[in-house]
Amino acid sequence: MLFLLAPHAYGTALIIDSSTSEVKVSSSFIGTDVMVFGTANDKDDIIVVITGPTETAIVRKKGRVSGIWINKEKLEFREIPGFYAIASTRPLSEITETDELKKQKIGIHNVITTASLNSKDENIKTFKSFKDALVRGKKTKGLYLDMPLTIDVVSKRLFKTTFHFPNNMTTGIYTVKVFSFQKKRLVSMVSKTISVEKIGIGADVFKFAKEQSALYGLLAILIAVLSGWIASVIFRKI
Amino acid sequence: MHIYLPIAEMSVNIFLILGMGGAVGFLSGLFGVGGGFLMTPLLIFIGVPPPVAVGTEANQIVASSVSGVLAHWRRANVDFKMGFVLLLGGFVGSSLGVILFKYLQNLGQLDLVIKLSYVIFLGIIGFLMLWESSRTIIRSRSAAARRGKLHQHNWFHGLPFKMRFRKSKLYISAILPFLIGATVGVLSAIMGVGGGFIMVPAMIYLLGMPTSLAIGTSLFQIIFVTANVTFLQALTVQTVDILLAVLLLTGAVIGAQFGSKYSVRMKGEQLRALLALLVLGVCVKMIFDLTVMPADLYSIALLMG
Repeated sequence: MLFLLAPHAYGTALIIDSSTSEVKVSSSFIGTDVMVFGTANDKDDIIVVITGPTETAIVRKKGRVSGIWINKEKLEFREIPGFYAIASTRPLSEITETDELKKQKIGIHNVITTASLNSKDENIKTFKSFKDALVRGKKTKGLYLDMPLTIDVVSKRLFKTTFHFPNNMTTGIYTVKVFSFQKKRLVSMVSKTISVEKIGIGADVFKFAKEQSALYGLLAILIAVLSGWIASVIFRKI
Repeated sequence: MHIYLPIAEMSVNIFLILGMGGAVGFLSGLFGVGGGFLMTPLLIFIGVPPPVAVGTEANQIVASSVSGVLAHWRRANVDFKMGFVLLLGGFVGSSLGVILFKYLQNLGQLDLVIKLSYVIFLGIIGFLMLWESSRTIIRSRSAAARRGKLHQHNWFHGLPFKMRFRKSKLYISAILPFLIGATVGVLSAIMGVGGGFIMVPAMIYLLGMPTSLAIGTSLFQIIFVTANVTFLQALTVQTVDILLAVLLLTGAVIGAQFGSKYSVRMKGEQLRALLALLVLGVCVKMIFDLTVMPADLYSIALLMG
C-alpha cells in the first residue's frame, strides 16, 4: 500500500512504505524489525516517526517515610503514546526550528507536554522530572526512543531506516509519519499505519479472557483442578 | 525457546518458567508448603506485572493443592467439617481481599502493602519456626521430651457458637476457625499465596489440631479460597494467565515429587529449621527492598485506553 500526498511546493513527491503493514504477535513472538523506506526530493531532510496506541500512565515518586521507601507524589499523563520511535537524516535541531518541531509534535518531549496532564493536577512544577522518569522507564523497555536513529540515504532520493518492535509492545494501530524538510521548511508529510495484532492461540486466549471473563475464570479453575488430579494419579503409580 | 504470554503480554523463556516451577515445586514437596510465597516474588522479579503474578499464582496453587489434598484424603487426613468452617471464612476474606487489592492498586500502594505483608508474616512465622525447631533439636540431644497436655485452654474457649469437630477431637467456637479462614483469605488475595504457612501453624497452635490433620485440612480449604481468588481476579481485572499457570504447574508438579522423595530422608525438625531459614531469607530480601534507596525513585503504572 502506498500513500501519496499532493505536493506542496517545489513539486515535491514523497512516497513511503514499510516492510510490513501487519505485525503478527504469535505465541513465539520475540519482537521484530520493521523497515520504513521511500523516496523524496534530492537533498530533502527526512524525519520518520512511529507512534503506538495511546494510554494513560501514572508516574509515582518514592519518598522515605520512617525508614521505608513508599510512593508519595504522583502525576498522571493522559493520551501518551505507548510506543514512540523516531529516525532522522540529521540531528533534529539542524533540520528545522524548535518551534516547527513543537508544532508538528516531533520528538518525544514535544509529544508529552503539560497538555498531557490532568488539568486538576497542580504539580506542574515537578512535571519535567516526572516526564523524564516516564521517558526513561519506557526507554529501558525499548518502547521509546528519545534520540533519533539515523536514516540511511541509499541514493540521492532513496532513504530507508529500520525500527525494532520489542516483544512487550501493545497491540493496536501504529502510525508511521514521514516528514520532509527543505531549507528548514516542512514541504511534505505522508503517513501510513501498521497494525500490531495477536494471532493464534494467544489471541484467542486474550479475547476470551476480556470478553467472557467469568467463563475464562471457571475454565482456569477447571484446568488447574484437572491437572492437579492427573498429576496425583500419575505419580501415585510411579 | 520463547513463548508469548497472552495476558502478561510479554514473551518469556519457556525453560526459565519450567525451571522456576520445578525449583519451587521441589521446595514445596520437601517442606510440605504451597510455595506461593516464593513463586509470586520470583514472577514479579522476572518482570511479570504484579497483578498478573498474584492472579496466576492463585490459579497454580489450585492445582498443587488438589494433588496435595488427594494424597492426604487417601490417608484420611482431612477434617471436612473444620475445612468447611475455614472456607466460609476464606470466601469472605478472599472476596474482601480482591476488593482491597484493586483499591490499593488505584492508590499506588499495592506494592508496599504486598511487601509489608511479606515482611510481617514471613518474619513472624520464620522466627517462630526457627525458634521451635532449634529448641526441638537441642532438646532431643539432651533429654527425653516431656509430654504436654493435649491442648491448652485459653480465653477463646469461652466464645459462643460452639461446634464439635469429631475428626480433630475438638469442641470449640466456630468463630475462631472462621476468623482464621477470613484472615488467610485476605492475605491470599493480596499476596498471591495459598496461606498454608500461616494457616497450618494457626490450626496447630491456636485451634489445637493434630499436625497431619491441619496440613490436609488446610490444603482442602486452600483449593476453594484460591479458586475464588482466581475467579474474582479473572472477572474483575483479567489478570489470570492460563498459559503461565500451566507452565508453572507442570514444573511444580514434577519438582514436588522429587522434593517429597528427598524429604523422607530428613528429620522433621531439620526440615522445619531449613524452611524457617528460607522464609526468613525472603523476609530479609523484602526488608532490603523497602529500606534501601531504590535505583530509580520513580515508577510507572499504565492504564490502557
